Amino acid sequence: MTLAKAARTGGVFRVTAIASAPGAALRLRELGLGPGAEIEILHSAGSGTRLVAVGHSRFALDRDTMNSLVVEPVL
Amino acid sequence: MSEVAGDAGAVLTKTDPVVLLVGNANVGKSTLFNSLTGARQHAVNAPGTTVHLARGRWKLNDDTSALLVDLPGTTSLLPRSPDEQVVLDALTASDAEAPDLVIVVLDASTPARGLYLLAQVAERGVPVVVALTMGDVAERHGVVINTGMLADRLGVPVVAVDARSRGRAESLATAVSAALEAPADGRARIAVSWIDADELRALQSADRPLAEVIETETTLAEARFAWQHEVLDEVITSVEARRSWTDRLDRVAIHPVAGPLIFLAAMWGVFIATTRLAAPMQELFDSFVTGPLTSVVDTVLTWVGLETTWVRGLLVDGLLAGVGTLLTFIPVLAVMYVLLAVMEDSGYLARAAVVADKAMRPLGLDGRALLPLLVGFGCNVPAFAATRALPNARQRILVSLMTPYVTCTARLTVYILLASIFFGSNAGTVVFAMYCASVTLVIGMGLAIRWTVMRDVVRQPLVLQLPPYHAPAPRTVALRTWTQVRGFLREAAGIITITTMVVWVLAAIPVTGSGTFGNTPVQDSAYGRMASTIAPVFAPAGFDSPEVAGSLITGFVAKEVVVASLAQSYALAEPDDVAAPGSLGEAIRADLDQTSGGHGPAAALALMMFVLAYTACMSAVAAQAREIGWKLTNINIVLQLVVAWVLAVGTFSIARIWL
Repeated sequence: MTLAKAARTGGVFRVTAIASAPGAALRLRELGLGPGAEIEILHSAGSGTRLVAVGHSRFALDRDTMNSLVVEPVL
Repeated sequence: MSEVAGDAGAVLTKTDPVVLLVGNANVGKSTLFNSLTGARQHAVNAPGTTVHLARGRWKLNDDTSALLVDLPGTTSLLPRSPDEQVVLDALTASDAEAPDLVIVVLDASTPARGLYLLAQVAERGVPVVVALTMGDVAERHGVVINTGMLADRLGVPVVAVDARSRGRAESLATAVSAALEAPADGRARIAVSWIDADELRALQSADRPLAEVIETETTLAEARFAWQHEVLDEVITSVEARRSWTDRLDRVAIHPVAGPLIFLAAMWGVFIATTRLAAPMQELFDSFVTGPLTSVVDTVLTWVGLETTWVRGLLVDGLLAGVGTLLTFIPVLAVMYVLLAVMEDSGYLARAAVVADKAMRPLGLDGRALLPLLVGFGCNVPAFAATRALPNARQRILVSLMTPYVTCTARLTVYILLASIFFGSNAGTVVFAMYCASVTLVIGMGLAIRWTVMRDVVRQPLVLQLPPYHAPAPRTVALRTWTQVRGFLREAAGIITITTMVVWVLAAIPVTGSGTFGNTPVQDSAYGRMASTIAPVFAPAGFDSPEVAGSLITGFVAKEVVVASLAQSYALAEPDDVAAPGSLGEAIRADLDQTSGGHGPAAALALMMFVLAYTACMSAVAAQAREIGWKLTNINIVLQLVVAWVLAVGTFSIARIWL
């Protein structure tokens, strides 16, 4: 599922793949949001933008980015 | 000993080693820079770009100092913007600019991304020293980094620096001077040597197709990340990840409803501060120039016997008026720079970017672009300074080109005067319409520029790291403000004083034979002649009167003096209240009714549109040039004149049907 979909329920998710153009995907990797990263859903900023936590970092991700991250729940 | 180059073009003599500060955005790089260099620094643009850099002299010990360069924050060494390119260029520079050492600044509270960048810097084979910032924030978040272990693992010195205390700076200086003495030992060990510097250069040479570079970089990224995870696992002891007050604050700060309200409140605060708070200080500076400074000049002139000659006019009405104009902008700019530094250092600016993101999306910009545009309604000069809130140079240029169309309070006096004369009780509606026209023009010009010459400003997906909130360090804020204000003065002083003096000289030269130099009626001066020559240009807009054209020339220097200039041209008293223009109103009304062939109100509207769109003032021009360079600024002056003329002619042609 995508992170956008996962955000509806909330929780912690692990990135398994990035479904976007190679350039954008590389930037996400460089930011530490690549496969293997564990993302916790925090607050909503409206219109699909979310605040998420990756370790101690906080990121704001818009809807497009949330849609491009393929994730699985972390049990 | 070489003095730090004051401008980007100056050649650097290679006596001091070049030390670069490299790090992600918001890791406290600039704070560190300020605490290391103090006031011995200059704000410059990277050669051939409008990317801002700060360079300063860092005293390492009693004998040696280094040239410290604060580079823009970057995520990676694969550049995606002019700012990131500047970082790569600085790292790979040769000759005098070649770096002797790189300080990689790591945020101790979120070290992962920084380590990634460190790996990329290490691949280049430059000696590295690691500076660990934000230790206090990390501690609050329950992250403890074992600096000794990290140093062992990396094979380079790791120094915890608390940017708020100067004491730690000394240990960094010691580590850096030691590393400079033995450069061969300074290279970071990135355990797996997945690539060497030569391979990397070949890989990233310009002729490789981007798709290929990205593919290889993606493989490299994985290697770097694997390494980074290993390192972090070893050196970090993470006590439980506590929900910090940053998270609690963010629940409100980026909330879909509360967020925009807080954002608007913050912007309102900035607006009020740059207009109201600065006003008393502006008056103080102004009365200093017109009061004590003028009397000093007068006393000196009387003493040398020149008090009744043109020399007094040149010095008092020319030079001192220019200095006065310049000085009145210092409080506004200082307030703006302080607020900008506070918003940035506290971490709020990143939240503002998220909150106002949607509003700026069609322009390919994020929410931070709203700051200069809103500030511009007070005064355009600090608005140009506020474009520094934007993360990259192309975005700064785009916003700098939109900002002049934001109607400032100085232009308001002209609207009120004209609207009161021609629209009586509807004046308020007309002034409001001018504000709507301004907003439309800003958006329209933004879209037009973006669809034509700036197609490369594409909207990036919003992936923004939000730094933890923390109290800004007063010393950093003060230093930054001082450096920037000093930079503005240095660049603007010449242009503003020269322009005011040129206008004075033009008004002083008699061309019709009546009067003498410095003592001639306006209409008989070179200035009056120039106004008459220019006036016919405005015939299609219905206001081809020499008096109006003359006031528009003065308006180029400052909009505040347009009303005074009109009064002077008609040889009438300047009204105390522009909303009750009295005899000046009658004169303007009669003049415009005549030039427009009986369509006075239409000509007045056209004139207001012209005032809205053409150059705000000389100080704004200087401030703009400081942000985007003289070449673009000059092109923009012409563009604005064309836009203003077309708008005025268009407005007159349509409005004359009814008015």
